[in-house]
Amino acid sequence: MTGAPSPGSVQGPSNEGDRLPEIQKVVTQEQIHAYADAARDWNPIHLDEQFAAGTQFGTRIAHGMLGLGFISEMLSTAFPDGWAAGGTLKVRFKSPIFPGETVRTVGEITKVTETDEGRVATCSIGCIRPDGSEAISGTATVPLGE
Amino acid sequence: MPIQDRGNTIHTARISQLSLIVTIARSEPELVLADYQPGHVFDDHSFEITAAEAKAYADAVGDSSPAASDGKIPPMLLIAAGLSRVIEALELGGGTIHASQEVNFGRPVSPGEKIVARTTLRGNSVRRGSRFATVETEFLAGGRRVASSVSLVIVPE
Repeated sequence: MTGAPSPGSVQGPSNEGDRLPEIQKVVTQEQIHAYADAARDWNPIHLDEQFAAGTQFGTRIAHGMLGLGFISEMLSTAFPDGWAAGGTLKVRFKSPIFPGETVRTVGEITKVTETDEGRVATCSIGCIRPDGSEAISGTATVPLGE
Repeated sequence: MPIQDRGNTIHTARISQLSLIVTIARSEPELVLADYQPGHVFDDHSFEITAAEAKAYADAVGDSSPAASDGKIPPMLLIAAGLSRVIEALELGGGTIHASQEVNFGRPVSPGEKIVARTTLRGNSVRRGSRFATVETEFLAGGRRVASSVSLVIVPE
């Protein structure tokens, strides 16, 4: 993991413009196999090079949900109390992550809303490939509990 | 390591070379994915996630965040478990890809907690030679919703 919450947000990001902690991962084929077993998703497009060669991608790709797992890790790190208890997320899988690529998560609070239940942060979130393209892009909301 | 499956509404399925054949709960006639209309509710599926399975998932993702530590169930594992069951039940083909995902978490779930997944087909159409299927799953524990998800998958025709 690299990066850190924005300076001044001692207890984590909570204000508009605060960045979420960046997570960097080197995605390996071994990891993709481990994920397939753990998530029970053995789609051959992730595991079988011969099969994957015949798809639009020409080779194996990581599970989209693996990349989303990185984003969830970022959100849980930024919001240890709120993410799993009231968090929401909406993303598009825009391009695949290939084995061997190093990806990083990005996130920033774009809006804080006062509600009857307390403050809610709206965040832009994403997972970025080495060439700068977005593998995953979307938004999340997390209760700040204040 | 497979996630424990205690469902009593097992969906069995076969794929022919020409079409996706799905048999639901053995008693229903064989159906292809194209036969399901939006609004179709699949049989409930119950399962639980053990601490060991949660650790295997966290290790695979490399997730050491608070939500994945100390034996907790990483929240996205619940969603992945539900999605894999949909893919498994429908035996979606190997070229199936995941296009978008929505998630709503109510509360964390605990290892060994009985979860009921209730999946509804929200969309089912063909565009540009591929089938676009939208499935919504509610995750219930003790009759109360603990999470929900909406997944759009694209299946080559």
